Amino acid sequence: MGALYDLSQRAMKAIETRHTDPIEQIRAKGELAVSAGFMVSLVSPGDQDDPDKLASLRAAAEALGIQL
Amino acid sequence: MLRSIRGRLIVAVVVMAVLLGALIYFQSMRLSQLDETLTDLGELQQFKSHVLIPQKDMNQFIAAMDNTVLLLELGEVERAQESYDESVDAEQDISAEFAFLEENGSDELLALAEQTHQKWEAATEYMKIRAETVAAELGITLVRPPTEPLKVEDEHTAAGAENARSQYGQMGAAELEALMEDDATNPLEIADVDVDALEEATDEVLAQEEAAGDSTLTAASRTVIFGSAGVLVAILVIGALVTTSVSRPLGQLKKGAEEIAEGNLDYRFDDVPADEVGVVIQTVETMSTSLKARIRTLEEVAGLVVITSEDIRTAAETLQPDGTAVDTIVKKSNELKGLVGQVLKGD
Repeated sequence: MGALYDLSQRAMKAIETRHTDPIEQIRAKGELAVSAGFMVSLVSPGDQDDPDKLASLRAAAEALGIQL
Repeated sequence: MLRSIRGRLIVAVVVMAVLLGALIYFQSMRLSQLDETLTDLGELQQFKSHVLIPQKDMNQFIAAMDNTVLLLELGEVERAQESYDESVDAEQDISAEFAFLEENGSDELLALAEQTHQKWEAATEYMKIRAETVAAELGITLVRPPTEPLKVEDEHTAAGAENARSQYGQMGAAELEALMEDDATNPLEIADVDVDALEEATDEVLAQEEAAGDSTLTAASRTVIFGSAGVLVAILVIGALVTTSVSRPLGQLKKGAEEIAEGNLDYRFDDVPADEVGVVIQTVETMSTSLKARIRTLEEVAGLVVITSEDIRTAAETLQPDGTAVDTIVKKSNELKGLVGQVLKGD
């Protein structure tokens, strides 16, 4: 599994752990996608570790206060 | 092979078949032994009946010979000869019975049968010598009737007759008669003792065979009872083991499927077996993981729509004549289109 997939999964897991309210969870996932600029849930284990996507995902998570 | 349910079932069926086969084999062995014992018993019963027959024939022979002597003493020569002739039938029957006994006697009875035959033959010859001596002393010629071809002649017949001739051939009628007064010297009594001994020995062998038959029958019954019980227990144990090996993972699968159905998509199975049920469990786990990924995507899309629609509403509420808010609306809608497009393309 690649680093991008691993990071995506951790981000999703962190959102699911942080927000117990389903609506808040959905909003947070949407915000992460908007901030990162790509659909985080669509990253699959076989995807290339795109440095731009990795950087934008880290930045989006940091902006949303998600500890990775 | 034992890793798969099919393999376990095949092994269980083979083991049960082997156990049943072994039970049938041992049972057939016992029955075979029983059959042999019953055959031996039948043969011994037949042997015993032939031991008793010569005594009856001998009584007829003795009666004919006594008649011969009596008729000689009465001077009835012709009738005496007729009576002498009549003794032949019994003599022939006796020899036939002893021939049967010598042919069918087991090792332990054969020697006794041969000895008895010889004694009977000596007694028969003694009776003939006695009648012929009485006749000779009365000046009568008694013609010995031919015993051929029905009399069975063998070495014991010859030996018995020879013994009697050498022992009694030179005696007078009174001397021969005196022999019959004492059981120790009476040739008929001597022969009778041997017949009794043969009968007794036959009874003993019969009793031994009957005891062996009883023992074999008991062993056969035990084989049926304990063997069947053992095989039954083994089949129950094998059945229980096979059933447990199938039902336990099925129970695991049921519990996991219920957890997943209740929404616990992170549920993981413990100790997944390496059999067919294990394959189904792994498939269910894969399905659960895939389902979770799709739900995350749907939630992400829903979140996107919520966020974007809120941004668009905010922009619409602050619409300015210079159209700056319109640019925001278009930008947000393009972002939404682009991200949702990734989902639609499967990117």
